[in-house]
Amino acid sequence: MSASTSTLPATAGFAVAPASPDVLPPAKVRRGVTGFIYRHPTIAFGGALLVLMLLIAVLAPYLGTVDPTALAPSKRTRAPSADYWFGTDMFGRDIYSRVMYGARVSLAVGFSVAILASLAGLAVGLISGFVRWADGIIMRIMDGMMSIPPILLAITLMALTRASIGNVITAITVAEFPRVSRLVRGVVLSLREQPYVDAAVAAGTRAPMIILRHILPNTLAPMTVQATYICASAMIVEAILSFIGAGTPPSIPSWGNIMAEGRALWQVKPFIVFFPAVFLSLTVLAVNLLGDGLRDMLDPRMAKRL
Amino acid sequence: MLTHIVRRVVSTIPVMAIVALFVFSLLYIAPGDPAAVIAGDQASPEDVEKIRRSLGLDRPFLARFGEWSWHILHADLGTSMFTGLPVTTLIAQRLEPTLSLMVVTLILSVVVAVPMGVVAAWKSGTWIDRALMAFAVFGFSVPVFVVGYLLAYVFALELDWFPVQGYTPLSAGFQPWLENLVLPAVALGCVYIALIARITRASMLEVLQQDYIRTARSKGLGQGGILFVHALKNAAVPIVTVIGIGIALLIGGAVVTESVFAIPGLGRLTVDAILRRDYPVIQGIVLLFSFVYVLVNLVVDVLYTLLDPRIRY
Repeated sequence: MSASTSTLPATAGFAVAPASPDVLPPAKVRRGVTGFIYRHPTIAFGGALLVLMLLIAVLAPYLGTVDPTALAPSKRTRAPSADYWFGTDMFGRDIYSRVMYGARVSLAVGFSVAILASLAGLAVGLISGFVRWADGIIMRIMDGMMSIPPILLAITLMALTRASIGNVITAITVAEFPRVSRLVRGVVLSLREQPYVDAAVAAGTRAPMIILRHILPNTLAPMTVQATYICASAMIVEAILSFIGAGTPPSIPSWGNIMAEGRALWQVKPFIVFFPAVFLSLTVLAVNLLGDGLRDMLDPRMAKRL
Repeated sequence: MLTHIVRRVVSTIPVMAIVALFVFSLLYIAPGDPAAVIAGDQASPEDVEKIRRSLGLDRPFLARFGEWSWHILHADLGTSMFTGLPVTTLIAQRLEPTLSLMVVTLILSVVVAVPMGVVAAWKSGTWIDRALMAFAVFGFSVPVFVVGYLLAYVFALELDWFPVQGYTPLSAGFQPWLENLVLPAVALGCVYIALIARITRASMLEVLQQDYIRTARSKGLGQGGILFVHALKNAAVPIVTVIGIGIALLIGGAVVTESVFAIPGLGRLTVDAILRRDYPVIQGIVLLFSFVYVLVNLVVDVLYTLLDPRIRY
């Protein structure tokens, strides 16, 4: 650039605009949706797959499904065909309809647990980070809870309560939220050392305002990433609980329940287990890709590492 | 060094006490009436009352907790409500299959995952790296029972390379024992392999940028020596940490894997106990697994000081 400007004729003291053919052609900047897909392919792919599953869950009654609980004993364990796209189970229920409706349970559990665990973890983490005397006690309790493998903790809670979707959500939330509280506490403790937080304290800003203006914005990014992973893990745990008979009530079609019912017959009728398994795996994959993409976008330093 | 280890061992005691207190309190903080839930819908009020007494719910919390902890310290986890046998006996009967499954999975996972992560870091940015990391994302996403059924269908039913289900005790010979464990171990190991491989890659990427790696390369060391001796040794701490933390995944996954492959271990005991709402058994298994988990991570912590002499507490 500098070389080319010096060769310009300096006419009568006027700054002449460079004739500009020597400027490099601008790099092709992709804007809008295409640009986003180009820069964040994992978010785009994971997001699209998740939206597809959401549509399936919402539109389940309109996707050519029949009543997912309708029994038809004369049409038991039919292989997939034009009439029964995914076949029928041992009670003659249409597996395609059951799988479509099952999306509702998985997504409802995944999203509810992600939101509830984030809120509970945020509350406990903030208290622990701000209230010095409570920190030790709270964190010891969280350590204790994290020492119990999450699936086992959820199983224990389910053994003590009646089978219902609400109890499944509660049990998985209790098992997952200590990790969020650790994360939030860590952020609070590191932010407390920041000069601008010191300045806010010195200026007489009250704690709620500091939390709102300084702490929350800084926890949002790591918490969002954590929430997507919790969502994925919650969907797997729900399926596992249902699969071993300690989760969603058998009357409600969920992917774990369909697989539990296909368990006894899987060697001769593998399709009963196959279809819910594929949908569950795809949904969890979508959420995990979304989480990985969000992490790379929100924390570029980590982007090329994990 | 020794004082550090002793201090670390002592510090796990309060954690275990909190785990025990928490597991015990669940009976009291669970919503509704656990005695009624455990008794089932058809139970008469007398049955519910009997269960309430047998769980000790009719007595004050602290008195009951003191008595319960005292029993645990004497290796007494209570009595099964369904079989009437001591929980410790039931656990001892089922210990071998679960222990075998976990040990085989652990060895298999580490042997596969660490080289995977090292190669991915070495070839970072190439298609090899991308393929390995894509596999890792799949490993995270496909639930253990899905992998289990897939493997059993392909390698046992179709190809007939391995037995479909079941377990052969080690006393019946090493080979039949291992043959029965290969498929369950691969299924259970998938998530674990994905986790370890990702952390290994991340940790190695950091180490490979260090000056001493350049020095090693400039003095003419072979690629293998640099990667597996110089770099891996310095990248070891996060890898060992995640191997310890990941044990929780193995424990949770074992419950499901044993159901898929019909292995008569602790996982099956758990599932049977849930279906019968045999709470003392569930409580005993959860407590045992949690203590094992705490102890494994204690060992990991002690390993740090051996792997990285800079770490002092």
